Amino acid sequence: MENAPKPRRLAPAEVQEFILFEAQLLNERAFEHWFALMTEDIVYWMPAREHQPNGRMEASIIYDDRTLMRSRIDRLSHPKMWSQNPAAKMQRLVSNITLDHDYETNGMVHSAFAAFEFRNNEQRIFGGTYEHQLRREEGGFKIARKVVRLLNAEGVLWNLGIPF
Amino acid sequence: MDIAEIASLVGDDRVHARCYTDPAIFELEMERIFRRTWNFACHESQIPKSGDFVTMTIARQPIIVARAPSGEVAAMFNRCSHRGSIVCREESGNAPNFTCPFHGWVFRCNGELAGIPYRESYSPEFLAQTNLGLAPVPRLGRYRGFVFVSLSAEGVPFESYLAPLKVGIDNLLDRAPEGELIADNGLHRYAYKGNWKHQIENGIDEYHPPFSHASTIKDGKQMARAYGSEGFHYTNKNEKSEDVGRSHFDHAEIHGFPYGHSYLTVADRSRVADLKVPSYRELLIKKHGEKRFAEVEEETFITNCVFYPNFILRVNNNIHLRVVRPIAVDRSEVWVWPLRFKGAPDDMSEGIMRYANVHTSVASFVQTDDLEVFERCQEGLNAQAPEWVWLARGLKQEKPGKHPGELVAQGTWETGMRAQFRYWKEMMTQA
Ligand code: FES
Ligand SMILES: [Fe+2]
Repeated sequence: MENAPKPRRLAPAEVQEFILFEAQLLNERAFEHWFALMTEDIVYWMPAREHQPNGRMEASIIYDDRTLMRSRIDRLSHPKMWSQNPAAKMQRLVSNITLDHDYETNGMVHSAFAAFEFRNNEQRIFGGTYEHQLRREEGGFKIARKVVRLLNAEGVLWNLGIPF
Repeated sequence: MDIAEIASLVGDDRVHARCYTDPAIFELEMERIFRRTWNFACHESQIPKSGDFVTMTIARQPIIVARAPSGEVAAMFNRCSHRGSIVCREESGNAPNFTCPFHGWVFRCNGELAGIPYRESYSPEFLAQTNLGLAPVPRLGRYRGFVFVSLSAEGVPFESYLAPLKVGIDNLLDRAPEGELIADNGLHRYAYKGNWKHQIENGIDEYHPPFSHASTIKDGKQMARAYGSEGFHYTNKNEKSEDVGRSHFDHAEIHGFPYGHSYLTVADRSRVADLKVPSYRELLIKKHGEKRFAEVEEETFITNCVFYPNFILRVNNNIHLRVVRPIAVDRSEVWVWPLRFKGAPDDMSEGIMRYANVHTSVASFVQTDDLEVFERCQEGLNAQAPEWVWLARGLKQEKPGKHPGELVAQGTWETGMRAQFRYWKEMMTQA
């Protein structure tokens, strides 16, 4: 029982509100506002497998720095992004928002999400966890790193148009 | 379906929509193309040690490729010789043997039978049979780390099948500082509601990028993909590519070959970005010397090699292996393994992964729109009229190449697809 999981502290309201606000921006396709939440050195990562150590030396579903994230958002407003034409509607539910044991030093927040997507007369369900690394900047929170661990990351995936 | 009917589906400049939509044709393709010709199975860097294995389906059949203790590569059907369970569920791993979950028969990693529980109840004659191991795949072909299998004991010899596209594999290995490729860097996997041919045709379709991938163009330039790359211009200044008679991609060439093979060359040298990474360049010059390095640089001209029917090898920039797995007439899966060169500097390998993520991931900037278009094609092809899909670009304007049966074409010509369907017709009309 050496590595028995320890309970994490519930994130304070301020942190929870921030995480939920981010989800709201994505749900509302307010991508520019979403991008404005990121730090200059943002890393936005969706690993392709469960125990992937990092995104540098192996394939990821998404591994964006600021430049790639900018291009990702530019595409989302392009009228000829065929895979989002028509655009998908998405609802993300974020829950279980807790602070990392070392939150005071690393700013890490853990949460779980469920997401529903509707496009082309088809509804899809996604689930997984988020890790947000928060940093205080200009009096508010910014996201320095966001890791999206999709439950089915290791499976054969169907088109993913919108960021999670 | 009689031979004449199948033959009537493929003309010089067109193919019938049924080639993409008819389930009976799909079944015949499994039997006459996928089971008779060669399919890429894996790269040896995925199974370096004794007991390493990978599993896959080829022509929808479960297969294991494993490294035997002798160092040999063994390919066998993932099907217990007793009553049929698969003996391995994992996609990759290491195992000294495979134990069937049903009644516990055990097989060595080269497929030989190692043990049967409670064997007294079997007759000596039964146990004396030599075919109680995992059935070997009839033919295995290896070339410089690339493993292909054929599910048929007869058919085109591996050497002949490989010959037209060896150049792509050779060039890749000449660019490996330690002469080895690593295909064990994770993978991208995606599915789409469409026929397998949409993907294999896409490997040599340079007509589509300005249109299908319009969303990756900003101010006339493609969004930068490789590290440090600026992104290249699609068109001449002030011209929209839709308005000009000749695409940027017509600076590239398509080479069509026998056996359905083809390759695509780079549209311009500035797109071969990897050889310009200084630390990597130095390593290669040290390996080859200045003179040979200059030749290797000159020989680095291929973008994609498309091995019919299931394999695309990306030869420059975001080098990768891409395998197409037909599931049903209107459903396919694709597995893409990014490659790196053993001994190459980390920044270069990281650049390849970064490029892979924006190109072949299911959430990438490029693949997403290809998948959407494949699905739209599948839907559209259900229309009863027109009956034909046109593959007429550049027909009869090609020049002969060096290889027997080779045709050399401009980048946007449908010469590659025509090569694919010539072989399709040849194979599909052999009962
Ligand atoms: S089916 Fe494998 S042991 Fe019986
Ligand atoms: Fe494409």
